[in-house]
Amino acid sequence: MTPSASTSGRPPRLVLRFAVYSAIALALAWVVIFWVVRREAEERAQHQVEVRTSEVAERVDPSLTPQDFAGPVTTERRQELDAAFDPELVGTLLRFKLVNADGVVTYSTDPEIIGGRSDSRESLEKALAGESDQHVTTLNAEGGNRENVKAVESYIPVYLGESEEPTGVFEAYVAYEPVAAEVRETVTPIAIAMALALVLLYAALFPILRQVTRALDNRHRRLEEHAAALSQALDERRRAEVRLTQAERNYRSLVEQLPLVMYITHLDETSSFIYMSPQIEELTGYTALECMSDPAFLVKMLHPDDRERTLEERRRAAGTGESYATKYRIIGKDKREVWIHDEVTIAKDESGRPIHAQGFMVDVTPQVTTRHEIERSNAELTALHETALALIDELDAEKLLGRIAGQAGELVGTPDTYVYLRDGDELRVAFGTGVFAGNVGHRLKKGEGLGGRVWETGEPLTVEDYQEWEGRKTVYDGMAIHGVAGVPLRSRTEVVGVLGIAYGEPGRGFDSADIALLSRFAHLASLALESARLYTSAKEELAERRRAESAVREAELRYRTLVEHLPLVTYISPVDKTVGNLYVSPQVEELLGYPTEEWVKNPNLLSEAVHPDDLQRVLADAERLRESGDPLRSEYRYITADGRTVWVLDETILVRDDEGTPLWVQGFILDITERRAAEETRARLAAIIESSTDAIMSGSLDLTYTSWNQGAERMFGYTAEEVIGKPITLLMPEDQQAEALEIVDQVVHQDRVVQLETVRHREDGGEVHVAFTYSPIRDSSGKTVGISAIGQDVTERKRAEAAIRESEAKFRAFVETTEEWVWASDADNTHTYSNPAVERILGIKPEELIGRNWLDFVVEEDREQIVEAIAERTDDTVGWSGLVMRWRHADGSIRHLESNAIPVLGPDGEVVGWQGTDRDVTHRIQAERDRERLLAVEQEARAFAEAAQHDLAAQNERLRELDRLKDEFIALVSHELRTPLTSIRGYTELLLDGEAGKLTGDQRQFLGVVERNAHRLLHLVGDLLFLAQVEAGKLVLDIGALDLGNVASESVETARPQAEAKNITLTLATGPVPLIAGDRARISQLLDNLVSNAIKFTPEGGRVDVRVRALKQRAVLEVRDSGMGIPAGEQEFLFQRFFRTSTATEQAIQGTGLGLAISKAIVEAHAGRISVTSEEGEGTTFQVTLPLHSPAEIPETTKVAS
Amino acid sequence: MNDLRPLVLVADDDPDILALVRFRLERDGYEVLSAPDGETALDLAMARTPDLAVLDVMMPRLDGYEVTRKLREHGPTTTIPIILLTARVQEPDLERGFEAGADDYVTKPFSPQALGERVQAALGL
Repeated sequence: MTPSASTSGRPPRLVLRFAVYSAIALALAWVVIFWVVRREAEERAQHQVEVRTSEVAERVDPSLTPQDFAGPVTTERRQELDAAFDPELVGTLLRFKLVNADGVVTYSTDPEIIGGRSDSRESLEKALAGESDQHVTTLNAEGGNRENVKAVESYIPVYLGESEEPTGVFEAYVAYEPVAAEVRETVTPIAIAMALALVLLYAALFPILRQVTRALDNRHRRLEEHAAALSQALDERRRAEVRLTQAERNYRSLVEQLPLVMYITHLDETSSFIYMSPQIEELTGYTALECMSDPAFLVKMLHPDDRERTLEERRRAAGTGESYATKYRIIGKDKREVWIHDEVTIAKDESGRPIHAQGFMVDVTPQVTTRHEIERSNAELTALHETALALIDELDAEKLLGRIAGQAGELVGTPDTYVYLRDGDELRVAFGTGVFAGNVGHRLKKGEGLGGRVWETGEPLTVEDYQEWEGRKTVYDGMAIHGVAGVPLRSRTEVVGVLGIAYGEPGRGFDSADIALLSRFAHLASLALESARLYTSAKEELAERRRAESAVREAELRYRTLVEHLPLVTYISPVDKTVGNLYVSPQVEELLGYPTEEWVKNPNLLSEAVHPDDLQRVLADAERLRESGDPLRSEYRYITADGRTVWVLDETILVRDDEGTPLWVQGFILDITERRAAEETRARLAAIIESSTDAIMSGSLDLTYTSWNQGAERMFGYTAEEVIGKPITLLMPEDQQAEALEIVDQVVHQDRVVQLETVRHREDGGEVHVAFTYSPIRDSSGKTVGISAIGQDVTERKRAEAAIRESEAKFRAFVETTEEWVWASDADNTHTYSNPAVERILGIKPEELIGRNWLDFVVEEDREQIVEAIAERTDDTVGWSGLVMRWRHADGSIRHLESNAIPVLGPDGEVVGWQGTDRDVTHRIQAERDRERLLAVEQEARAFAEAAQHDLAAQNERLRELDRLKDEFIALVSHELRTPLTSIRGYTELLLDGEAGKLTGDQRQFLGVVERNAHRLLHLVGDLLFLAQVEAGKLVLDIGALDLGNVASESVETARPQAEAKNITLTLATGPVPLIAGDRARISQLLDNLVSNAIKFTPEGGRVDVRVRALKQRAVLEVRDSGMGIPAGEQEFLFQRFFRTSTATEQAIQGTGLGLAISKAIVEAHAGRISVTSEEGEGTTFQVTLPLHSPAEIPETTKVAS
Repeated sequence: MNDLRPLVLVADDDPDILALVRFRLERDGYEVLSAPDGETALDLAMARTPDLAVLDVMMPRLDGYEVTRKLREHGPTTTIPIILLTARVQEPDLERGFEAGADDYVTKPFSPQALGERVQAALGL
């Protein structure tokens, strides 16, 4: 790095600096020397002055008197004193003077200053205290004619007589300069010498310094380079810092302009503020600095009620790191409560560890207070409402006041309340609760105490602390009341009392809301009091009147009794319609359900009770009455308290006094509901009658028509005018008149309603079929006064009925003769019709069925199911077909009936019944049942067979497994047997070969037995092993071309000795047989077996014939013996392993029962067949057939695994 | 040793058969090494290099097939005739013997004399 720009700002070289420092050191040395000289000079001068002054003083002393210090000396005395001083001695002094204790110069060698004041007060006092003092000064300081001379001044105390205290002070001046010069003379050489020594020292040190400074210089340069680099780095850092600062400033200014308070706190116990934006001042009055300087500021600022909760929230958030929002109160500098909404976020470092909390506060005081206000005002309104309700009924003033005061206290939160009431020209405590309970009866004059003042001013008054209040009544001293408030109770405009409340604990005051609330209560109370007063006064007045108007009262009582027993409601209302009625007779309750009192108290009741449709009219009428005074008669409806509609007749008049001024309105209300109802009914009936299509008419008892409706007119062609007054026989055919009159007689005299279908004449001469209903007409006393007739034209119906009857007859004939059961039922399953077929089918007569629920005849356990099925079809209204039901025949047997039915639909499409036909299908069902049963049996049997088969297969599988295990065992055992047999045979052979020495005849014979048996055993083992191989499917054939005759010949020759031993003739007959494909060893084994078997089972002298020939494509091998034969029952087991014939066993013929099994296996392995034919006692023939192959097919040597 | 008789190794776990074979072969003029199991047989063969080996197939530890295979692996025994004695006469067993390197086999039970003849034939005497 190059020491670039550093030349200009480079500090002076060290050498230069050193020179400067040296110069400064020299200068300092000179200064020191100068100072030493000066100081020494002053000290010496002072000493000289002291010495000389003391001398002068000593000289003068005896000649001095106290008088000389009393004040300025006289001229004579001065001259005396001048003379008294040694001129020589004095001459060394510039000035000499005497100064008294007051600082006044009483004498001086310089007469001009006598009477002046000594200049140094301090030194003078010191001298007066007994200590001499000196200091350097200028001589003209205290005036005089001397020029401005530097001098040393000396103060010596003067003791006159025996005095302990100095009487005065000698003051003398000595010229300074001569003394200083003397000193300089001695000191200066020393100083010069010292300076020279310093210069020399410097000169000696200079070269060394130069070297040192050079080294330092180099080092300095290097440092400079570093410094340059550093400064660059520093510059950058500074710039970065500047940027940061700028950024911070930006943020800060942003934060500080927000309309909320931002802050950052530590996560310590007190949440001390790290940063607080200045808006806090606006919010709380505390500056941001104040907040940040006190670590516990938040704690102090928090409202005591919110403190613990808020801090706990902060602690919890510091732990969890979760942000949250909260509300709390803080107390501002001006003790104001501020509600704060605070959103707190926990800031975390990169590792997620909380480092501090930050948040912002918003002033939500208005919202919170508004909410509180609303809550409070809700509570107040509720209370006011309740109170108001209570007041309406309460006329006892005392209770009323208690209720009001209690309620007011409860709302404001104090048990201490009272009520003053006017009592003449005083206020009396009428009611008190809490501490005021004992004050009842206390009295106050107007303007006295709190109550008195409220009375006087008519305004609410609050006192912050009654104990401190100048206007307090001494009689209440000692009561535990502090904040007290009172509001006036008014009757109209006049103050009639005071409602007050108090707080028992100091420090609680009333705010304007409390007063407002109290005032509202007072208003309520006033109203209540007013009513109570009215009530009371009314009571009093009434009593008064009673006394005064006893006579009138009696009359009135009578009148009232009369009025109240009239079947109507009488009333008196004030002309002022806003007030309730003055009087309403008690019948009103019976009529309208609202009690009399309510009519009197509630002016709105009328509007509520009158039918809404009539209300406008009624109000308009009332208005007109009040204005015009004309009597009013109107009919309108009331809705009674229990909701009925009542028609009334209301007749009202306006009562005036003699001068015509309206006094009140009076009238009566008559219940005309029944009349109206009757009128309406009549009107309705008339309308019905007129609009009816039926002919409706009536006649009087003299049998003339009295009414005739339009229906009658249409039906008979006569108009009402034409008929009324005419005899009722007018319409009757001649031949029916007698009958008709009889009916009339019945109706009238026997009081019966008669129905009749008959024929009447029309006006145009035609006939009409009419269904008449005749009934008597009665008057209100029940007496029959006439007869009414309602006639329906049934001409069409008659015609239709006739048609139906005809068609029905046809169908009936058909139905009643049909084989099927035809039936009908109604929707409730009640049988309504049945044709005679049912008797044939079920043995039940139709009449037994009709009228009964047909389900009763169905097999009981099916009923529920059938009902369900029918219900389903009822919903669909489609009926059913092919539904088979089981019925109980009269003889108890069950019949299967197949049913088809359709629903009979009513006018609205609903099912009103069923009709259908049933057929007996019992035989068919029975047949189906039988078939199904058979089928089931067959299936069962099949399933059983299948299961059995399955079991069998499983069992077979198990057997096969056992068989396989057995085969493995046999193979193993065979192997294990071969080894010992090897030894037996081997050693026997050695012995027989004479290897162990020559054998005797017996030895050789016995060894022969051993060898033979060993051979047998080996053979047996071989057979077993062979069979095991066959069974295991491991038989391996060594197939080659084979001459069967040759093999047979070998076998026969091998067996010959055996045959000869039994004297059996053994023959072999061989035909021309081609070569076969086979395993020579096996085929040979086969032949050996068969031939030796034949010999074994043939008795001595018999014969065995072996025959080999070709037959078609087969080689046939036969071995026939003349033996004992095999019983037929055993032949089939012959080729089974280990099977021995009963003969073999009985005759103890040796054998294992394996030979034939092996033979069969060998034959089958060669694709041949072996069979046996035998007859007991005759002999047995074994025949083997083997397939012949063309020579080309026979391989040279083939190994075939069977 | 200057014994000029052919050296035959016989191995069988049945001591009676071992003695029987040894007796026969010694009578026939061979020097016989007998081993009661396959491992001993292998050790003896390695140590003495017999002219011929008669090995029982079913032997503990090392069976006849295994011994045959090892003898055929390397050294002078790779060429000597080996006759197996076996109670198994089934085809796969025989094939296994030839695959391992045997020259001939004799099934149990055998006639000692017949065995002697086979040995003689194998040695080409």
